[in-house]
Amino acid sequence: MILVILAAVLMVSGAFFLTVSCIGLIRLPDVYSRIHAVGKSETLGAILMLGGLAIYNGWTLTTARLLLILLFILLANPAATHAIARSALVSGLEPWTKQKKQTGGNGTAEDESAQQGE
Amino acid sequence: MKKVANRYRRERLTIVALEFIVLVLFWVILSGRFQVKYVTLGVISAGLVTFLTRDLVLSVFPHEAERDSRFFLRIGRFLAYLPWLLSRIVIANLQVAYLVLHPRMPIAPALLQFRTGLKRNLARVIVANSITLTPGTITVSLKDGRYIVHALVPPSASDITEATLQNKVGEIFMEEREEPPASHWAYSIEELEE
Repeated sequence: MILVILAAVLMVSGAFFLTVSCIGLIRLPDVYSRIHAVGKSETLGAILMLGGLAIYNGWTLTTARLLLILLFILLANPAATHAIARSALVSGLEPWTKQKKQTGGNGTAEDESAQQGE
Repeated sequence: MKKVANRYRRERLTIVALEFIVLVLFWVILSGRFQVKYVTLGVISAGLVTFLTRDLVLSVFPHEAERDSRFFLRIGRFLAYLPWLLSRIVIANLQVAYLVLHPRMPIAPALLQFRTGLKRNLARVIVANSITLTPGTITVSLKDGRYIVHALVPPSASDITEATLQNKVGEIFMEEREEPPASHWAYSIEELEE
């Protein structure tokens, strides 16, 4: 029973961080900062979610598979994130910064995205 | 002379055999079937993969000359480093969640350039991956110990600018402690230093 509650707590907090990463994907202004949301909040979200599932499952073969998935996410996530960020830099994409948008708007991040028509 | 050659051969065999065992275990875990048919297929596939990747695996593992008693000490220290990294990931995740959910979204992204004194490539890569795993910072570029990091808000890079992260990784490889690096903040690609 305690294990089920623990698993539920882990999964709910995992879902929270995954939701935050989706909201971030929509709200943040450019590629660089969007990678932060997608590639990162996801790290903890996936750890919590898969950890919760593993606890819920108990000691079965499925748990071993879940832990393997977790391991591969932890290995692949930084590599893929870095690949996207690096290709953005190499192709010459300017990072969105706070200074540029001081020309107009009232100083919120959303003004800039509105101006860019995003 | 022959003795050394024999030991070298035995060591290579051990590494390859370990790879084979890990691959078979991997197969069994993923398939979940224990009938002779499936396990035989797994053993054949694992053998084939072991045969095809033997050069790669042997080149990754350190040779006997480089591997001393410190090799296992390093693995131990690396495992001790993981909980610290996990705690940083949790803290940084909460910060990013706050930034993203804040109605005005108070982000101030910038590119941070710095150098590291770490000499080993593996140490540099661990630093780069740790930066990327910690929310709020991404390693955009790593070349010859020079990093370009994208930070969502400058304070989220404090572990790097204060060299906490570098020294934690340096401890694993028993490298010298380094001073906080001279960090250069850039707000566009032109401002990046060559």
